[in-house]
Amino acid sequence: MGTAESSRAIDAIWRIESPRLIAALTRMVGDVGLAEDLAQDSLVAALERWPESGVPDNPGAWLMATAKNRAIDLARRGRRLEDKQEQLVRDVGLRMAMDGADAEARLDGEIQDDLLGLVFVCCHPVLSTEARVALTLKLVGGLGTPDIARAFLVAEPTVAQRIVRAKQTLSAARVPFEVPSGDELDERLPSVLEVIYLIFNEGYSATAGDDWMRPALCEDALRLGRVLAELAPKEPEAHGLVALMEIQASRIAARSGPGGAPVLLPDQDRSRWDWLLVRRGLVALARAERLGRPLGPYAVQAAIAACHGRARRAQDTDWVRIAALYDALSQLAPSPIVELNRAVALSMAFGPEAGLELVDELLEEPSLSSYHLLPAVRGDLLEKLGRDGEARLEFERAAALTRNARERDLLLARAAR
Amino acid sequence: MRFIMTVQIPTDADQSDWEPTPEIVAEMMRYNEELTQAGVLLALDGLTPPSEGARISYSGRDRTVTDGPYAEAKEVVGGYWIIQAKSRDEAIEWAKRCPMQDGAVEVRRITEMSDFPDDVQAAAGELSQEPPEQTTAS
Repeated sequence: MGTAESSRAIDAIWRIESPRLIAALTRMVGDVGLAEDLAQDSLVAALERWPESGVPDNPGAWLMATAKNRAIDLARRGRRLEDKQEQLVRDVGLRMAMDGADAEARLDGEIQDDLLGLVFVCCHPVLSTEARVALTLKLVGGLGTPDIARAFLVAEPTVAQRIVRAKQTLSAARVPFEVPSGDELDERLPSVLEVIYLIFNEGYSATAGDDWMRPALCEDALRLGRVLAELAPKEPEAHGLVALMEIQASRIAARSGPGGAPVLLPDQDRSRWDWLLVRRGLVALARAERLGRPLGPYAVQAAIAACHGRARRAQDTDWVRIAALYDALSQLAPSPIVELNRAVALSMAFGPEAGLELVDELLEEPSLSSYHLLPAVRGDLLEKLGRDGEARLEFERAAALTRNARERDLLLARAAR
Repeated sequence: MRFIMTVQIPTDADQSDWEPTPEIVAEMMRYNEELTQAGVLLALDGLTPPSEGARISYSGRDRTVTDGPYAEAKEVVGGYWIIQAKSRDEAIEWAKRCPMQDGAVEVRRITEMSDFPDDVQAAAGELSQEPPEQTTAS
């Protein structure tokens, strides 16, 4: 095996193995920062040895054993960065040497529990949202710092710093490594779901830059979501989120036309939808529904997306059902943005006047004052009502508000129509 | 990106290769479960033996139908997985973990519409304004 080839193979193994490795180590050492250091040490050892010795039969177990030996070694030599860290390594090394903690000996279910514990640590409420996103992608998604930096259009040292600080915060707050249960689970799960959906949306509707979408981030989020749904199969919202992302991702190829201009839902060529993902989304939604508990906001949004997914042509869309689902959503998770979407659904189900009435109520809403989709929707409804002059002003306002270059072009084109 | 991993079974394989034992099936299920838990598995299917299949050969407007099995092929496809992976290397790594005893698994990247130049994409759009019947989600 050539060196370049083998280091690429090791990268791939790392991506697959590192989440479980770091999760198991975090359970053992109780500190995610130290766990990642130990895991990194085992990666360095692999990069040194595997190109010559070849990749072992069970690379995950090799990495685990190496990380464990590293901890024992550090404990024996008794020197390490800071005193507190040193003490921790010593205790851990001792414990490992004594009980021979071994990832291989753990049952599948236990490994899954470790991983779920890691997910909850990475999405812990003591961390800022940005820190949760970076840490989750790095430790649970197995992404490198450069990948994360590129995906979020920020400098690499910024991401690295964010991750270092996040680990320090977790350490200082003595965040325990555990899977919350009962009421605490209900309280903490939304934060995990939010982080994953945020990653998805960062890819799906890039807030800045010339690219309308960054599909790789959508794939990363989908993967995280599917992992979570397997880790917490009894949580309807985990399946709801997966369903929502699968169905939204199914439209990626249809959402931009030649040259990258955005194509809106009613105008999309549905033959370009990814029907495998649509089907996966409907299956995930059915799993959420089968659990027999009331649907949460993600599952309801997935049900809305499913209405579009079931319609083979735009004119087949069941807008009355969508309007009812938005009604349910506005009870579950009331927000001006949900109201705006409900207005669109009402206009499609019952005519533009019904929608405009609700949109006009939102004009006084301060949180929407610089939200480009409010004038964009209003312009659309006014245009349908034949009030072209007013519509043009709204499209121009929307174009001035959006930060996405492609979207601005689209809005200006509608204003000029 | 997406990859298809196809199981290649030698044409001269015994009928027993197409009738896996409960042990082999259990191992495969474990592997499928691993792919599922990692969030990479999108779809999979196993195929019936080529003796139940047929081969259609084309030469201009002529079509020749040959019943399976086909002596001239060295290997036939026995099943497939569609996975989502970050790179070709990652897809290869997943394929290496497949509990095969013999035969082979071939890893191929699935083309995306964006792989094609604009004129090809436009042609694809004209051909099918509506999704094909058989792939419609119910």
